[in-house]
Amino acid sequence: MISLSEKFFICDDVVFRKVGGEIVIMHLTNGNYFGLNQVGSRVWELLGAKSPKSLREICSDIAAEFDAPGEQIESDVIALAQDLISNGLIKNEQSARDE
Amino acid sequence: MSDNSAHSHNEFGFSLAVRPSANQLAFGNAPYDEWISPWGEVIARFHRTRGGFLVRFPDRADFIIDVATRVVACTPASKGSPEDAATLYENCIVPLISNHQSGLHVHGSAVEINGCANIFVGPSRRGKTTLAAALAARQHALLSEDAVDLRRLADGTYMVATSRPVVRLFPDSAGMLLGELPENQGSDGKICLGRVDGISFADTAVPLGKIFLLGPGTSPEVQISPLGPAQSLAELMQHAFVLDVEDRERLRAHFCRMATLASSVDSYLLDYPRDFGILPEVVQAIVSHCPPER
Repeated sequence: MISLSEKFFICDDVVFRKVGGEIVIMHLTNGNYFGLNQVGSRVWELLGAKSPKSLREICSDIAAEFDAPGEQIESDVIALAQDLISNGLIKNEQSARDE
Repeated sequence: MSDNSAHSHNEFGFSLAVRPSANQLAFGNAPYDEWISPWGEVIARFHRTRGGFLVRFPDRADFIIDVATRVVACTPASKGSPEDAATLYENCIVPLISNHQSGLHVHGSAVEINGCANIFVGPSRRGKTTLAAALAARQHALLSEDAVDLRRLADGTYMVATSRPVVRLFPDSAGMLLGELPENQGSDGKICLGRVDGISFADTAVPLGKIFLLGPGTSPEVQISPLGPAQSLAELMQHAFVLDVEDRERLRAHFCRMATLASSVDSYLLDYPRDFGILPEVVQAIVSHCPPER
C-alpha cells in the first residue's frame, strides 16, 4: 500500500523525453514503452525533481495547476504511482537505500 | 557481393569481407537478442563474440562484426544466396552499425513526393515496400526500400539519403505493378526491380517531409490521421535498428535521437485495406497529402 507521505525516485534503467507536451518513457532492460497524459507527465516531472517530493506534495502541486477535486487527484496520483512501481519505473526511498 | 572474398568500404568506416557459403554451425553462446516476426519466426539472432557481434539470419547468412578491426565478415548460408546476403547487409547490417555509431536509420521505405522525402514505417509484411514501389512506378522517386538513412543537419532539419537503386517485391506485388512477372526471382522468392522496370529512383538526398506509420489494414477505406509526437516516438522505437540492446548508454542516446525526430516531423497513421485494387487510391491520397512546398 502506498502512503502519500512516501517519496519516490525515477529508476536508473529508464530513459524518457517530453515530446509534444507528453512524457514517453522507455525501460532500458525490457524495452517497454509508456506514454503519460498531460497530468501524468506533470506528475513524472515532479517525481524527477532534484529535491524529491512526497506524493502528498505532488498532489498539492497538481491541485494548484489543474482543475480537479483534491480527492480525485490523490486517488489518480496513487494509482499512477502504483502503475509506475509495478512497471519498474520508479522506486521509493527504502528501495533506493537498499541498492 | 560474390562467393569470392571481396572487400568494400562504406562511409561508416567498416569494410565488408565476403566468405564462401557455408553451413551455419551452432554458436557457442546463447543469443542476447532476437528479431522475431509477427508470426513468431526468428528473423535474426544476436550473439556476442570476442571482438564484437555475430548477427545470424537463420538459413540466410552470418555477419561477424569486429568492432576493433572494423571488418564485417559475411558468410552466406548454404541454403542462402550471395544476393540475399548482400540485401541483408544493406538493409540490416549497415543500419545496425550506423545506429551503433550515433546514426539514425529507421526500418521503413522512403519516396520523394513534390520535393520532400516521405517515409513509411511499419513491421515486416505491412506493405512498406509495395507502397513505395507503387509510388515509384508513378515517377515519385524511391529513396529506400527497407531502411531509411536520416541525416540531421545543423539547422535541425533532416535529409533522407539515397540507397542502392533496387526494390525487392514478392511476385504478386511485382506483377500488380508491372502487369507481367519479370523472370529475375531471387532465392528468397522476391523479385528485384530496377530502373529498367520503370521504377524511378532518387539520385540525391532529399529533405524529410512526413512520416507515415502503417496501420494493420483494418480500416475499410484509405485513412490518414495525425499522430502526436509521443505516439510517433513509441512507434518509431519499435522499428529501430539496435545492435546491442544491453548497451544502456547507446540505447539511451538512440531513444533521444528518435525523440528529437518525432518532435521535429509531422507523423500520420496511414491505414487502408491490403487489396492491390485500392493501391492507386492510396497513392493518390498520399500525394494529395504531400503538396509542393510554397
